[in-house]
Amino acid sequence: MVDTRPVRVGPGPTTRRGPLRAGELAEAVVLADLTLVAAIAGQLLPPPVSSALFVIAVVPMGVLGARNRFRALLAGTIAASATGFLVLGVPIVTAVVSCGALGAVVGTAARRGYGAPRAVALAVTFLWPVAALIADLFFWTFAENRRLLLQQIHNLWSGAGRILRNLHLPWLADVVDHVTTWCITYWWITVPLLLLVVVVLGTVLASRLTGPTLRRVSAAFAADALALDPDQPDDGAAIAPLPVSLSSVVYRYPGAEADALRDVTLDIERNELVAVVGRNGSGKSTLARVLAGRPPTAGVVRRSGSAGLGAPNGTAIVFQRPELQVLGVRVRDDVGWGLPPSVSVDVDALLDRVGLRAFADRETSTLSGGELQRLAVAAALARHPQLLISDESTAMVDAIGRAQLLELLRSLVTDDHMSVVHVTHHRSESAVADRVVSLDGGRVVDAPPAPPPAVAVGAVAPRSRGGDPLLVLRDVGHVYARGTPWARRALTGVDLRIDRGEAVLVVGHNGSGKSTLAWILSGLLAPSEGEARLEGMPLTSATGQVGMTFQHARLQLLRPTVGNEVMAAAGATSFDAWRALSDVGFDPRTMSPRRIDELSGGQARRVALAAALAARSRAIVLDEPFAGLDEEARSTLTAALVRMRVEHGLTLICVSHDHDLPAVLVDREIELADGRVTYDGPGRS
Amino acid sequence: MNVRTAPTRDRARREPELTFLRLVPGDSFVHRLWAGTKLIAVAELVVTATFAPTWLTLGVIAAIVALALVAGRVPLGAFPRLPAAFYGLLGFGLLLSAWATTPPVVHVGPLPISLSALAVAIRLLALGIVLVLSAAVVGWTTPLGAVAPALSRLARPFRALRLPVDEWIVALALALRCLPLLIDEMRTLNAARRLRHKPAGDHRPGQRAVIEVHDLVSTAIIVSLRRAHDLADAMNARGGVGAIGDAQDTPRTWRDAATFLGVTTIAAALIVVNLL
Repeated sequence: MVDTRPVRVGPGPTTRRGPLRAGELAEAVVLADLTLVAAIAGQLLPPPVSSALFVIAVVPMGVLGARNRFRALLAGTIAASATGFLVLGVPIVTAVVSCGALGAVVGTAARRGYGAPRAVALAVTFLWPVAALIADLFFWTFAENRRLLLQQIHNLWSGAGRILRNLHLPWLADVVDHVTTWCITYWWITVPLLLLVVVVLGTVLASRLTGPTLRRVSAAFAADALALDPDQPDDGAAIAPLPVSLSSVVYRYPGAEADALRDVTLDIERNELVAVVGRNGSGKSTLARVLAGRPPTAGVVRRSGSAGLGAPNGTAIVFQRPELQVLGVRVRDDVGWGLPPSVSVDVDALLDRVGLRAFADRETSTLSGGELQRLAVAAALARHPQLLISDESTAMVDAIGRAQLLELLRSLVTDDHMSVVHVTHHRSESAVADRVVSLDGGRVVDAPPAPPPAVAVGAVAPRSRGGDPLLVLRDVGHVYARGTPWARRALTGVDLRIDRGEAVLVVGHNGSGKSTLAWILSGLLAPSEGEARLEGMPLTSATGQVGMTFQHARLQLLRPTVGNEVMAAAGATSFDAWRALSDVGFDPRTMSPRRIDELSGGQARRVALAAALAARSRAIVLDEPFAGLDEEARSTLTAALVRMRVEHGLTLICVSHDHDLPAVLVDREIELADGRVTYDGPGRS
Repeated sequence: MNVRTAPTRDRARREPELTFLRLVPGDSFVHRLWAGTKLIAVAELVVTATFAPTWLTLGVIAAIVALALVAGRVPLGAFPRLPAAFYGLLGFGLLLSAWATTPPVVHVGPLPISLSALAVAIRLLALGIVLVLSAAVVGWTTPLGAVAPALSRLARPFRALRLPVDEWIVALALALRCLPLLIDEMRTLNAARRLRHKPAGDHRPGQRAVIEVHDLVSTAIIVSLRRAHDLADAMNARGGVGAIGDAQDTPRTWRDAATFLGVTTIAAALIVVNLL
């Protein structure tokens, strides 16, 4: 555990000067927020847990300090303190600032490969004197506060002394008396001494946790090198992203072993809609980034000016995961985010343009995926871009949202005379385009690669109802935050019986209650009304017996490698883990040692599935299993699921906002709307 | 490999709800105050209470906070429900303090109770409650989106000191925006942890706990860094870090003036009284 080799960290954290760049600031904010979350939990929980959480809370700051400049750590600490102040007042500010200070020491020590003694020396030399001085100054200035605290300590000790005397240990009581009196009289010595203990213990414990964590973090990002900030050529050239002409462009990510783009030659003219179609990993997102201004590794990109990403009259880009590109708390803030105050924006007109009339004062967290993507387009339009790049903006959006978004993109070309490059893995979406560019393996190809051969699916006879009941929900309802002003009803009167071996699709829009239902079915959430049972047993006392794969499956893969993860999550032997991996369509020999962080989204879901299989789950709940997957990944996952049904007779419950699941996985469809079951019958896709 | 029989847990496992930092819908006097006015007022009250935690100060400040809570129509349901262990510990602490020998001591049955010690403990408790609740009032009555622009305006003087204030304000705006998302992800992470089965390995329990904590912390950090990556992309797509403007944030109403003057006068008076 105590491994003190220096950790290779981010791209030269100490060499940069000047204002923080977007990547540094984002890392600072997110890690400091993580510290804040741990600190809040620590304030609300009783002592032994809270001390452990305090040490844990130092780790994100330590990682931040190791990977980034001090300036980033400072910005993160200030932001999290201010946020924390609004959550739990002054006490949390003290906790966050202490974590930031310890994080600076622990991070520096980790970066330089210091062992515990040198880390402690660093802390005692630089951190402790400052902390001691500040504490003494505080107690000297705030004298009444000091007297109150010291009196409390005196009182507590005097009670303890009485107990000791009653136990016939008067000598011990006298010693305690003397020590307490001394400590209280010479508080200006006692406080620094106490701080010394905290600083030394905190440094030792947090270093022990930060070092190995940092090593795992660095390993996770070695593959894609987390190149946060594309080095924009800031050559002062006028902004003119169009027309752009690529000839023999090659791109290779730093540290990667293969080119992501090979010999790409391509022109984008004014006022056209170009669809870029390809599978996951075909290089289409890389192409989008080169078009947005990232300089290629080789080859030539010709423009009459610079791409001007995010600049007025430049290039705008809309990304795949809608909830991640929202920067504002309110819709109005988001549209104007990052614009200089001198630029006035007609937010309402822009929202009207993208079909979000009267959304301006709503909170962005209440919008659906499709609405968020149109909001992103509105934010892009605030800068009057000449070129809009849609980087798989439709991948995570349901069918209706997709159609609306495509129509909007089309109208930007037709009505506003912009150019749009729409990157997608849905080949059908190229119908709206003026021109289609197909990519495969980083090259432009004449025709899109043939779809993968349809999976040979054995005939799975739809189960007839009236089988063996597995999961039974009786009059289940759920209210979040019941009794508070934010009470929100998610489910009402759901009666459901799912039989062994059934394949059920639960479908509904955002906010229909389908995620709540999924959490109840997997025993993670006790419904506030009614009862949910697994073979007669309350589901919440059987947590773990119904497996679940989350949409963001990375969150459930905790061990560093695939084989390890399946064994650990399932409590399974390596033999069972191997079999489960091959059951979901992997070659266990190559897959077992693979690092979790190298997996694609689809592969991560299959690993989670393998773990659920190896754990002999009674049923598996899959949350949005196909979201964001290309056709190949979809068919591999489908094959794995079909196999589980046929060979293991497993009960499958897919939760999705889309109807486009393979019919073979849908014996039965349950539609939810506003927390009620509105349809329950055979699949309708 | 056998099917794990999970320990039978009570079904009353509740998801803790974060009830701070959420706007209580309403349009009261307190809601309509400029966010900056509320932040200044709270800062003044916090400093005063910390400087002079006397009965007088704490009483006056508690009254102001209570007034704000009533005026802002914050219902009792908005207050956080803390775990029972928290209250148990609190009661134990009070009991321990009352056990002291500091006079005057009264006897309640066989139990000697030090009134002065109890008074000290209660004053400390009141100080803690006032510090937490005064800040919570701001969170309950202010839309999150209004906080950063207000601070940006308040921070104007610091720009003259050449401190990177704009950077900090942007960071704060993003921290406020990301906190609910991160809490959500940590909740999912915890759910995933609960779904896992007991590992088959032969580690000692303590060692296993260390490994588990290490796994959870690493995963949380890696997932958060990916989020940071996306956040940076989103910022770069809008031209980089930028700044939070305060151009539209004009606070000059009679409400703000009256609140600011009132709170400042009371705070100053309390400090003067204490110094005399």
